[in-house]
Amino acid sequence: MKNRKWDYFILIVCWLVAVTFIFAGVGKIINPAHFAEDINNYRMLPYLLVTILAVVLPWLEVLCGLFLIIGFWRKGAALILLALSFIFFIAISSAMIRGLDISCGCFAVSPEAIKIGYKRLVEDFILFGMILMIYLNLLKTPH
Amino acid sequence: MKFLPKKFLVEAIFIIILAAVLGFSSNLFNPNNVKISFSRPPIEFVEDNIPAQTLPDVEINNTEPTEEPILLEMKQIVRLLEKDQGVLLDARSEKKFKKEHIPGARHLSHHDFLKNKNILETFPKDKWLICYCEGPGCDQAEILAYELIFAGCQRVAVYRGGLEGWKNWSNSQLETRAHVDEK
Repeated sequence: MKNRKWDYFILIVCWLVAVTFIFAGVGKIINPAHFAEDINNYRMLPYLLVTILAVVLPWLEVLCGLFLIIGFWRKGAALILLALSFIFFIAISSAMIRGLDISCGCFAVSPEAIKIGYKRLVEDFILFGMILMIYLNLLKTPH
Repeated sequence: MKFLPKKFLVEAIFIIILAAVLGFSSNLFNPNNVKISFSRPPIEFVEDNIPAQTLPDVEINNTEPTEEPILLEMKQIVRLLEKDQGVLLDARSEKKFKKEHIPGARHLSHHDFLKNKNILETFPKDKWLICYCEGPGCDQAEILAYELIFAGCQRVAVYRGGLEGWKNWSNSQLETRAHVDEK
């Protein structure tokens, strides 16, 4: 009974994470040029990598979200999302330390996109925790 | 329990390959696509795609309303300010503004503007509102510029160089002046 409750809880967490990443990815797929600007503003990567990331990353987010929902390649999807949320955390922290006054580029590419700051950092940390929970649960799954 | 099993890695690689294929294919047909290149393309003048660097001086005399923010260089901004045809707006945080800003600039972040749009009434309508932030890497100036346009302002410009660009420009001016004095 306890296990079943836990399974339901993990399923809900899975759906929440999936929907978050699908929502984040779709906005960026529509306007990769703007997303490239957002990544470039972090001043962390050479421009070639910025453009490649702007093209691939949104699809990665959407695919991982979809796979988490449908259950196909769920383990790989959880691993990628875990790595991504960790990288986002590092990127936001680094930008904050360097005093960059930029938009996050996390969930929206519109001019109203939210600025980086502690709020973003906490949100990403929570997301990371949720994905870690899914990942650890999948590690225990035999198949 | 192994933290990174091979099965997880193999699945992850397949997903990355699939995302790359979909990403590059969709980018080909996307009107807002990004060009894969080693260096960032030059900043373009919004209205007619003339590179900002070659923007003629006459543009600063352009008093026609614009529907999108235009990009200005410091040289042009100085002329606008000299003719009392522009207002500089610092789009950074108030803390940063108090620490340092371009002389004569007023502080207005897009967050503050969204909270109190009545502030628009304090701006002269016949002058260019020139937004700037930290430097070429920040986008707060452009965000503010678009907010101003959405709110009905018709003469809005962005200085992409920001505070960083202004410092470089003023240093170069001092060097030029010192060079002339030596002669």
